[in-house]
Amino acid sequence: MIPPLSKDALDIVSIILTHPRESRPDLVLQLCAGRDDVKRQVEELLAYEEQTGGFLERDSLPPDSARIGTRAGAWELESVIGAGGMGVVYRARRADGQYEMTAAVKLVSQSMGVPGFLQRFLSERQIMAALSHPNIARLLDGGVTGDGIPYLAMEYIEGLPIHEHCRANKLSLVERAGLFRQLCDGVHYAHQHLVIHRDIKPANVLVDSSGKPKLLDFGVAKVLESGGRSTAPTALHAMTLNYASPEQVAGKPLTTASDVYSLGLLLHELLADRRAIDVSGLAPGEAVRVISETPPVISASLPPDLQAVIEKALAKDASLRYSGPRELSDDLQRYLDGLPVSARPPSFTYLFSRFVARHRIPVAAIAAGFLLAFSGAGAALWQWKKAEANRGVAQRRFDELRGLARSVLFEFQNGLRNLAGSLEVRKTMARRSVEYLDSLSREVAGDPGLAIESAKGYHRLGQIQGDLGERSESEESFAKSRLLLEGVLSSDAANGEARWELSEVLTTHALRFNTREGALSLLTAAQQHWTQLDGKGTLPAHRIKHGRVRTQFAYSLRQLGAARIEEFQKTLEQYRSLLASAPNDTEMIRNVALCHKYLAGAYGKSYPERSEFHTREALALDRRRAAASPGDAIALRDLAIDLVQAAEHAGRRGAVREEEAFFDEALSLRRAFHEKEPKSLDARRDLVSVLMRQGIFFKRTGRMGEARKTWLEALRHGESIGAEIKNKSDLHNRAVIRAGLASLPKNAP
Amino acid sequence: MSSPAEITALLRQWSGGDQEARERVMSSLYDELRLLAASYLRRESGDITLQRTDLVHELFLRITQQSPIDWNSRSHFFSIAARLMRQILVEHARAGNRQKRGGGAAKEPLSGLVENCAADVPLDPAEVLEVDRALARLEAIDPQRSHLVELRYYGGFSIPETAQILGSSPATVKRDWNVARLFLLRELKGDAGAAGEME
Repeated sequence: MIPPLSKDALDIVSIILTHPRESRPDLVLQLCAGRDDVKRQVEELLAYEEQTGGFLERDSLPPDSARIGTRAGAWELESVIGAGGMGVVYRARRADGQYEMTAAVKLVSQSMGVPGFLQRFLSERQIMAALSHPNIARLLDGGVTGDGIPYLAMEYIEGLPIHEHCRANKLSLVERAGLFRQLCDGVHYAHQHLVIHRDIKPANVLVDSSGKPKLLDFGVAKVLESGGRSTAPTALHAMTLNYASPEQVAGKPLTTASDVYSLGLLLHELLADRRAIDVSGLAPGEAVRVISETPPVISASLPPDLQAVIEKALAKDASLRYSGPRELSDDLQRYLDGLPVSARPPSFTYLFSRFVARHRIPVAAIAAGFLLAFSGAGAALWQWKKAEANRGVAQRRFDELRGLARSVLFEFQNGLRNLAGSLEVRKTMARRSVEYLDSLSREVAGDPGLAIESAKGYHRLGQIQGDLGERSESEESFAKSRLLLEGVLSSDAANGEARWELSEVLTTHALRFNTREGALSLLTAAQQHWTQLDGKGTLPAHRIKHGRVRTQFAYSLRQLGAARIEEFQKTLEQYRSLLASAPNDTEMIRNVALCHKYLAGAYGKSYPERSEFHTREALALDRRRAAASPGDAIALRDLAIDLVQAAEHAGRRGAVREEEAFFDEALSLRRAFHEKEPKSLDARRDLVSVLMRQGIFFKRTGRMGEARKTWLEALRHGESIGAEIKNKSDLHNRAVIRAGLASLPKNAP
Repeated sequence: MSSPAEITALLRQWSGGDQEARERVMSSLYDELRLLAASYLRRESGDITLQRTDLVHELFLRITQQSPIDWNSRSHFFSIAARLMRQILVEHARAGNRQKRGGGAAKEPLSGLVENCAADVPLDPAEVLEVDRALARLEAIDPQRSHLVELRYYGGFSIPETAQILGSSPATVKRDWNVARLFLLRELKGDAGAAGEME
């Protein structure tokens, strides 16, 4: 056993090793002053330095240069040009005498020669072979070397990495942005082919002699699995933390949004000559924290719009980023064209409505964002009360929050309405905003405006609870709403707004839950309030009349049997007279059409002619409405519904041509919707429903081939609705379509 | 063997300071790594070079393919894996020595692992055992540098990878690695000298 060493000796050696040899003896004396035993140990250790050589070393094997001069298929390796996560890259020359050509040949280095790596290498080969785009380095060839090592021959690009190219040529901002946009085209193209790059960074983008940027190395790319996500893990060494996205360091599946993030980092580096997020030299834990939590440090010297664009691309939450490279690129172009960019203003309302519209994000995330928005509420209230001296600012902040609560209650709610599975979140949102408004109205007593807003909030909450089937909670919310409004009215009987809202709540309540008798008594109360409002002049007469008719409409719905038809006719007349006073009011046109539709339904099969008459009336009105407000999605949707109804009436009469024309028109509307809103579930459902009916039409008229084609298309759209969000009618439609398909003769063309 | 999801959950718990989780993850991964090594050896036909790093990475891929792992757990994972590789290599070096001495030990699924590793790097059972002993001495005075050696030598990680795992910089890792090598070289040569086996 040799004498043991001390840790001090090791630490001192560690310092000494960083210094040139000639200065070491002095350093040893200095650092070991007065400690002879340590000095002896240090000297003893240093004496071994000559002998370490490759002791315990594994990195140096095998020398990549040993392959130079050997062949990989038709390629002769000339020099090493780089080494990446997957292998070593050589510059190579075509050596089979066929033609002159240079390529970058990538060999899986020996250390990677285990099956897992081989598979990934081969998948890389396939992915790349399918990609052909001017901004993506082309795959020329691929195979296995004589000694069994797989290789890829890629387009050889002579040039500098993009950031160095920009620096070396002193490119202007516009030129840099132009290069970047070309790169986005390449990434967009790859995304369309279900390939995400995963490792976009300046070193992977070379600018060739003609000035074209080329994206290299789909080394870790993997064909996106169905569902748009990939679950392949990213091995330790295949990862560049400086360009890693938050989801990447969290070990979450990567999506095209991860590439958008990397593009954002690259854009910043190109425009500002430094990284917006730099984790070099940080410990992994610290780096992960920075990447997932710390906001990017975007250069203040960039124009604010460009800062906004980059910030949006670098959003921590992938769903808040641009939806793809094309969108990022387009926004950049808008900046270059002097147009406002979509990334601004990043106000809460803007972000929220945008993300709701674009992404079907997990409901929990929406809830989290929402709750965050309210975290400042308490403080604002305190400020409002205390800061008498600074009333202006506090009042403004207070109004802001109040406005926020209102828009959460109403605007966002509407935005969320069509979002699958959003009901629970909408409820949380409504409850939180109501509680908030409630506490405000208690604190700031005697503000009838706040009380009315809270009442409206409870009204909305009650509706949502009703949608969720929480009947007693819902009734309770309606009752609270009424209580608040009655409170306002008790001190100010002339408050028209409160009375109007009260009638509305009563009407909604009546529509929702009571027995027919209960509903009628609520509606009677509502009518009484309307009567009191009449002629008081506190609200526009038109609005009052509208409310009254709505109550009447509800009353009609509550009637049963023949009385129902009679009531609807009455409502229809009232709506018509309203419409006469405001012939261009599309909302009114819609209500009249709705009455027609209810009547058409009430007559139904017993009085088919009358039913068809009302269907046609509704159709004509909805056509008028669609023409008056082009692009109004609800109008077009209503129109499509009318067309299907009209088609079925035509079918009943045996008017095949008419029927077909109606179906065609309905289908083209549905298709247009679906194309415009490919993510909208409703649009897809509507399309399925029309296709299903059209298929039935084809089969009935003996056009079996068309029936099959139509139903297969319906099935394809239907199946693309995720299993977890399929509802009863989806399942019903699918069953009908499947049964239809099964009923077709086997040999139909 | 626990499922990958259980292992990642355990890793997370361990990251959160649960030492019992560490023990459980160690034993789970140990079994897995042994099986993996054994299956490699069975399909080994000499044309594919087996390296310790690949085993560790392969194990990592297996686990993460089914259940993603966060960065902290990832570093923990590689530390464990390197420690396990050390155990496995040492055990087999010992078993190899026993067999050489005619001990006739029961047929081990892993027999030959060390020899196969030797294909990529001069790694013989004697060296494995010597390094292990020397490393134990380093561990006694400097556990951090000893951990680094485990990652580099048994885990087969490069300097930058080791730096990432340890949360350090490549420059520091390189320096500490060199210091540790001096220490180990002195232990090995000194020991051999003391045992009179040096020429």
